[in-house]
Amino acid sequence: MEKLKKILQNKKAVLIVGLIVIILLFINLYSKLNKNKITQFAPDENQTEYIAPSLPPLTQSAELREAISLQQKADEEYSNWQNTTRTDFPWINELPVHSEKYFVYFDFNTKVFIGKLYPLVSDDVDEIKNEIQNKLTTDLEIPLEQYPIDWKIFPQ
Amino acid sequence: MGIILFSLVFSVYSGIQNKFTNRTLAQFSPKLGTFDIPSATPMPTYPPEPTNPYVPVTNIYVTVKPGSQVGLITGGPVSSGAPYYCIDDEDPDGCDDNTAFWVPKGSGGAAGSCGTVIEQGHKIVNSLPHFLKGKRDSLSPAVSNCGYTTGTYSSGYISTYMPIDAYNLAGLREMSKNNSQNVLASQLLNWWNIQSTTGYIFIPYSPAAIQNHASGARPLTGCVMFLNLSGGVHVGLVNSLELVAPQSAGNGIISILQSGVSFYVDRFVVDAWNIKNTPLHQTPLQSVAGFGCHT
Repeated sequence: MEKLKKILQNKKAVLIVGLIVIILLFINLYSKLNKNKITQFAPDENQTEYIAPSLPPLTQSAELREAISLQQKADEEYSNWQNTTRTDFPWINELPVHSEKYFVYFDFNTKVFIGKLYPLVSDDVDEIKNEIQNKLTTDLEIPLEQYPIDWKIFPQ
Repeated sequence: MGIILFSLVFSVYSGIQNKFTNRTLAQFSPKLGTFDIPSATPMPTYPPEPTNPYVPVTNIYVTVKPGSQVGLITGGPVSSGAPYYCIDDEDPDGCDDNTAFWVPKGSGGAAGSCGTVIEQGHKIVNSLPHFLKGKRDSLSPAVSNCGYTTGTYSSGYISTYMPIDAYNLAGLREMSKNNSQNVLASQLLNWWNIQSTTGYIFIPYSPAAIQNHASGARPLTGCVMFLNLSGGVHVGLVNSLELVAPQSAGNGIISILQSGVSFYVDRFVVDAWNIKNTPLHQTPLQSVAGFGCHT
């Protein structure tokens, strides 16, 4: 206690201690301010991620879920139809065959080729028919014996 | 003396601390208006645009009438940036010879403030799976335009999502993937019928509708084609109409773009302006219900 009293009576010692305390307090104040700034500025990581407004919400309503499910079923039906037609008629993508004098396609539902002919008066219709049949059987390898051709003639 | 000094120091310290704390708060207080407070919802960062941008068809074939092309085109493989789709690209053999039909990528038609609907449709097709066989119900990368993005899908990109996204990407924002009335095609058909006041118009299917498209009187490009099925309705975007000579006969091919099914391009025969070979085409009026368009 005596030593402390002596030190406190020494003005120089008090000033030094006071300065040290002041410096320490300001260091403490500075660090607090910086910390404050960091917490104020630090963006929420979740906020920086943009969530597209067009995306279905994570919690879809029962009505929306039902609509999606029903549409998936309808699309599945359409998809099956696409696959079936291409399996049953693998040459379908090669059609129609056409020129200025004819337009020929296959009707899925009636399983018949529709041959629309547009001959000039000078044209030989049978010749045009032969040309079409050769194209279908030779070039496209279509078994015409299974599928009749329904000819429709439109003289020009 | 020591006590006085410490009291003085603490007073100064407290004063300074309070002053700085208040200034810090003031700096970020929107009420004081000294700092633009960061928005709770930051500006979105959109995914990059998909590669292979759509290149519209221009002056490649003689277009006798607006809205249609004359003659069916064949050729070999095409890149995704080409102005055609090669329909054999979706088959197991691929587009490997010069006899495969090419389908011109449609242009023009229904449009919003951010472009044409069909242009957005082509971008979406680029993001659908391009494998040789399988369902086209995933989407990656996302397609973005004018502040709207489709998002990515590992599955479940159903057929109605394509028109909803294409219209939104074009700047027509009335439809939403969160609206069950838009998501289910049979309800979308009804929805379209009551939207005439906002520029949406429904055109019932008829051979005259196809003829008007071919003449340019009422283009259908980018319109939503509604196809009746026994168990619902399927939709696609009208892509292009190709007519063959003699053009007045109304023969050719109409094509649609679609998602959620096995092939993203489908072609239907047009015979005397009638659309044939649809899933239920026993009578024309039952097969294609009509077209959802925007004026």
